[in-house]
Amino acid sequence: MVTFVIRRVALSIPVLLVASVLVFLFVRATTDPLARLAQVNDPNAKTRLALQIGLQEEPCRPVVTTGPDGNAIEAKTPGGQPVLGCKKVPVATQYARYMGDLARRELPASQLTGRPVSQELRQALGSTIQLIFWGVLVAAAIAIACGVYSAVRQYSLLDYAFTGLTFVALAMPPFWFGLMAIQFGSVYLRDRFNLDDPLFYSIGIESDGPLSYARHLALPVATLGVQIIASWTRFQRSSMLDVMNADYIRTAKAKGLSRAKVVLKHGLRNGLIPLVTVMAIDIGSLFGGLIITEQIFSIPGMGRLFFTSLQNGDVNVLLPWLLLSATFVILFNLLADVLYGALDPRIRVS
Amino acid sequence: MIHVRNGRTRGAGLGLLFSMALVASACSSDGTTTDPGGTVGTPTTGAEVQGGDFVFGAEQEADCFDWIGSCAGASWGVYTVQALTMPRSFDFDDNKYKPSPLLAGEPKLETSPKQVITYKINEKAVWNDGTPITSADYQYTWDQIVNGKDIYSKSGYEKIESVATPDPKTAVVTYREPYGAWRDLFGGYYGIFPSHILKSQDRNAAMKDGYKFSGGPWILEAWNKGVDTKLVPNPNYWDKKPNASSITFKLLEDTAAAQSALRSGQVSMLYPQAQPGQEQLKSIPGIKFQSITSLSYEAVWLNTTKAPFTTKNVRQALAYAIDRDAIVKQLFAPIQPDIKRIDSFATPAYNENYVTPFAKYSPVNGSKVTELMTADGWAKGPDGIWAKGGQKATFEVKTTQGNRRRLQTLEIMQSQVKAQGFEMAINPIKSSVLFGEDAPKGNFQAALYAQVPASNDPDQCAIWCSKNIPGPANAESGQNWTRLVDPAIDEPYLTIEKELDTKKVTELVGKGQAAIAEGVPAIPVDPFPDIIAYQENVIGGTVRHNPSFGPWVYANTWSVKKK
Repeated sequence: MVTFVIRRVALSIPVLLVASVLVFLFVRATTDPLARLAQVNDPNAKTRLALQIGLQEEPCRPVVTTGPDGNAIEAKTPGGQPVLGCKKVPVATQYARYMGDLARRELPASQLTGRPVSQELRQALGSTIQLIFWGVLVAAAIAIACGVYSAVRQYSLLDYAFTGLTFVALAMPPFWFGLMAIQFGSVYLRDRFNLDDPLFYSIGIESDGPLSYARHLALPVATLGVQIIASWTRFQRSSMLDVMNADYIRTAKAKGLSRAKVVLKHGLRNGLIPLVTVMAIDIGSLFGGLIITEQIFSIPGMGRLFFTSLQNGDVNVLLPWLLLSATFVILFNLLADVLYGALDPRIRVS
Repeated sequence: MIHVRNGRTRGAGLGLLFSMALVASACSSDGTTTDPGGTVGTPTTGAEVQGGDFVFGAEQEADCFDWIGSCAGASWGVYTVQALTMPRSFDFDDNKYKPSPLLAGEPKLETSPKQVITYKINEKAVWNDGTPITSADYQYTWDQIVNGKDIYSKSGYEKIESVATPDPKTAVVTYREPYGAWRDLFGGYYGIFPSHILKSQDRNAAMKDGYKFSGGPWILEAWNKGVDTKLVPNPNYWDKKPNASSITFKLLEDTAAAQSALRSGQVSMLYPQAQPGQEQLKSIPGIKFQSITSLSYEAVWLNTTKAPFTTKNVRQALAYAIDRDAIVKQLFAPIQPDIKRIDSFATPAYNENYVTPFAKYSPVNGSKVTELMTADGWAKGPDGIWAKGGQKATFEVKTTQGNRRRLQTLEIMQSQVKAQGFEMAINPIKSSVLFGEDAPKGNFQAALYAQVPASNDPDQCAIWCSKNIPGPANAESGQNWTRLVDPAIDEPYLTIEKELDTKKVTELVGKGQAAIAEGVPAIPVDPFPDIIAYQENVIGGTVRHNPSFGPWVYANTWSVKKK
């Protein structure tokens, strides 16, 4: 097992490196961090920013070009100062310097805000982890309960209802569901019951007590969870059906064990194995994929940080973001493999 | 001076910064107020109440709080923090520059032998720690902007020769050459910086994440990045002290979520950008909706070096082919019923500097189009499109991706110009590509985007003068992207840059805009409505627009009605 884990971690390093090169090249090719100064009436403004964020470097000299009459012209700013031209830093050098800084644990500051990237990531990760924790907890509880019930009471009225609801939930775009949830939980209920404050808040997750925290989290967690619950419920139902038709369950029933014991002890334990691995993989990918929920509910998490940084071509944030997200995906995939082996003794990692 | 910063919609590259209006005042039964001067608002009701907390919605936030650093381009930083905490020489109120409470009166302007401005600082003016605001602060501000590292823009300040400090309450600013837009300096988006606090440290490091000094009515208390920004009253402010105990700006980037937050009472005011659909705010019970014409305007910019716009006749014919009234009504009438098209590169909010030479191109005139195109050697083909020498009158309009309003504008325009024999394609591209590459390099035929002036100073040389066509003399950094060389435009605008007499400036603007209307390097389309929506039962006082600093610059005069 230890060898397996070490090998998986070792294999992930080149994957991360290739991903970082691709992201660096992609961001540099598609976004211009200087574009926000495109309409500033000061040609040296771009040069100053380029120097600061490492796109250019010293030496800088006044720009001298050839005019229409063939004479040399020194370019001037509207204020009459020389327009400066500095040496451009090749993308490969920019990347090498960046990785060098990373290796020395000296993350460059955000190109957009000038703040330490570690600070930006820490803040974003904190919000996202809260959202994922509660989202996954609630989703897992509901999905397991509904999935088990549907499997045990197959073709019952509630099974049909759960099945129908899961299809509806899977078909619902999260942004639409989020807005509807706000409209109902924040606006409608407040108006309906003539409350001073909304029953559920739709802005952020900052709060001043457990009740307020729950009121802030309810809508984003519901939005995050609606599709996860649906897919996990389907998964759990299918897995439980397989298990409940297995020979050992028939044997357990024949031995006269109570229905609850058969379902919970023998059925659920084995029926959970596939779901747990799916959950581990899903949680890993959630770390970077909450853009819509975070945007709608104004939560400053990883998804929103990615979106803002991409819009502004801030590779100094995007690269560590990618490495962090990829690390989570790899870790949770690894966890899924390990859990699979641990939960089912018949499976051994080779 | 045109000094464009990151707009209210960063993704779109440009947005709204300021607003003012000169349209008839009307209050409709649905809570809509369209006010005439841009600064008129809902009158105070009842006595001022002390205490209480305001929570407002903000579409964006500052990237940092070092207002002269390159990280501080976002106008929302100005609206929510800079204008409320930094002292400035001039306010921009009632469509006019007025000396702010920082000054003891109108600064003295001397024009000969050099331009010299003498600022007399109010004796009562102090920073929040009680230290007087002095001429040393003016000197420090200028020094940082001109000599500091990582400065956003030095525009205007580079023309200053010296800042003298004959006494602590007198600052004497001498210019190397005449500079017409001098009122925008030592204030505006930068403010005046406290030398006694910052001189001994790295200004950028001290300010970028927030600062505790203030020379305005409010002090920045906390910035929870990506979440909210909180301000509390400055107890040492020498002018009107705030009534409320705090203001919190909640960051609400999603438009629909922001509207729901207003409706559910989580925020009591929004200042949304004008996009179709914002009229929904009018229907929310208890919400007061104000809309005025802003300083910002949108236009179709033509590359005069690319066919078919190399000839004046084609450009004029296109101007006759576009029904600008229909576009403006369709886009903005639900938001601002009395909105009108603009007839120059300004809006009515420019007051006396707003002229209407483009009125001659309205209404649509098919015979004029035919006359101009025929005179230029074009003839309509069997498909109804003008053609000349095997070349059709087809063109592509680039605009910024993801902007519903712009796409709608172009879709309307497409059918209008088709009816007059022009074939138009729409190409939405990333704003960074449009403004960072295509427009500066001339890689476009036409483009739809906005100009967002930082004040109503009428100097537009940056976008019209031939010296500002990207080229060797300006290291390809000029902003006259239409690339029209026209002495009739150059002459007035080169003069305006240095003209200090406002009456003469107004005359020159008229001349310059008339020349632009004749040469048609661009076609003005619409002004932007500037919108405020707020809960009447929460905010007491006169809620009004400010074209330079946003509505919250008046928040010190408001009271919290419902605590």
